[in-house]
Amino acid sequence: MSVDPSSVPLPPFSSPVLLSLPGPLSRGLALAAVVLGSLLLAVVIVTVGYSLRAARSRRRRTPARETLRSELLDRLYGRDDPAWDEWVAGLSALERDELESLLDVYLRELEGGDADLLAELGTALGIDERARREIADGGYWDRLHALVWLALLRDAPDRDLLETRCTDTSRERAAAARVLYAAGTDDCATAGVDLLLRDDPRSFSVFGVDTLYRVAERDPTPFFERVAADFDEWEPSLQRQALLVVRHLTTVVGGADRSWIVGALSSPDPSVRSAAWRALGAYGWDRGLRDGVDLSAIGEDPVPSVRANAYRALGAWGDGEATAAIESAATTDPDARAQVAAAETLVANRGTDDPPSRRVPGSEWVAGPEGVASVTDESAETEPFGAAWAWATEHARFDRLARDISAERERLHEEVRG
Amino acid sequence: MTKSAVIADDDETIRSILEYKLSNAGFEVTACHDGEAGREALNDPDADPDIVVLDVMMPRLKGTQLLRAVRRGELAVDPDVPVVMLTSRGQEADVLEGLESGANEYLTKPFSPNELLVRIERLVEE
Repeated sequence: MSVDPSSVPLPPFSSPVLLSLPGPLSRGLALAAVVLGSLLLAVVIVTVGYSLRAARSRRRRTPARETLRSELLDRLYGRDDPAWDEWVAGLSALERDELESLLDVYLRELEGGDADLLAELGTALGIDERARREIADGGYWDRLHALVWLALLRDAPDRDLLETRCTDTSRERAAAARVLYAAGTDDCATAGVDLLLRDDPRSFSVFGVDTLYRVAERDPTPFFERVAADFDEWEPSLQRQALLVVRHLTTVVGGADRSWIVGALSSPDPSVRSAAWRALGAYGWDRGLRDGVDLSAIGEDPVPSVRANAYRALGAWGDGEATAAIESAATTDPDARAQVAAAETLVANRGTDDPPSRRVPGSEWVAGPEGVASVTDESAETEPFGAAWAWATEHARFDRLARDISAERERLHEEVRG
Repeated sequence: MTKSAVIADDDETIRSILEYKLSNAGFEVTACHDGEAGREALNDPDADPDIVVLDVMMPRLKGTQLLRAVRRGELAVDPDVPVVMLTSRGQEADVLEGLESGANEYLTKPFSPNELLVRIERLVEE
């Protein structure tokens, strides 16, 4: 049976433009419009539905959260025994879920006895057991989530579980080591460094570097042993992070092998050489380490930023030998920024009245107002180290002025207050 | 005689902990949700707290700025009232800034409420 195309009803929104198109084309476009319209309608219905459901859930959760918060603090601070098990047993699923959320927030803010008591609430809620199961059987995000909970509860699981299930990525390694650190286990430094740096490690996020620093600060020996053994095999970004940790460690490292720090000064990667100089800046007190550094080679480094960091490290050492080395290298340094770094370290160590002794013939230094050295010979003004020295001394003078003004303002305030 | 405390912190969790802890220790607590509310509380002519606990980073007015205003006598409260700074900024420079602003004590978050209470009671007794 043949059907007259003009007799088939068209959708109400079919425009005259569609009707003017050839039959099959106009029907195809009309069908597409119907499908798109239906999809749009479905999206609107689903969105509104989810919004209403979320609003309903919020309406139920908000008062529940406030009641739970009040009860939580009452039990934490108002009783000798918080009786968490008894409380948790009487809660609905929604209340338990909301209580977990509250516990998460409070555990992040508290330390000491209160945090220990709250951790017992975590046990009453079964979070610790669930976290262990998620580490053993869960996927990547489940494991990370579980590690965060165990860190908050200061509850370290078996090392085997961590080593077998949590060393695939740098993120997991850091989270696993953080659990040991948070729990304050005796083997935190040893097992933590193993988790972080054993078996082909990759560079870390900021959280990972912070974790590495914390476990090394607890006991630096395992960290130094591991780095001394494996440093050369690591990628430059991880080498930089290890040097960053060394730079900030405050725990005494005793007789640890630190020759790798000096070795890093010869790295082919300039960012590693810079990081090594910054790390060495923190070890100026160690004559044994310093003696391994060839100061005369500073000027041979082809990268200006590395030389600048070398000058700053020598400035941090600050003794006559170090400052003489800065002066010697920087006077012939072809880079203006490196020379400014050198001049600033010299000004910081010797003050503004003691300009570099080696100058280009023809330049003339005089003491200006406030003891500031200035250049009188125009030809000398173009001499790079002269400009760098003038820049550094001027900044030092303004810095001193700002401090004086601030101190004077405080003094006047004190006077006004009587 | 009842002791009184003014606390200013924009974090509800911290405020609730401090309120419970100090109330249980016998303090009458005025809790403020930001620096400006803290300023108003400390500028009340009747304000005579035994202790003030301030967060450093707060909306509208930083804790260090509020503390300077207190120490300079710009508010009705006694300029020498003991003040504890409580903050998540634990870098040496931040601690020094807090102490230079005139703080008597400086604690970093996460913190131990028991330790805070001991420090507060020592300051109040002094």
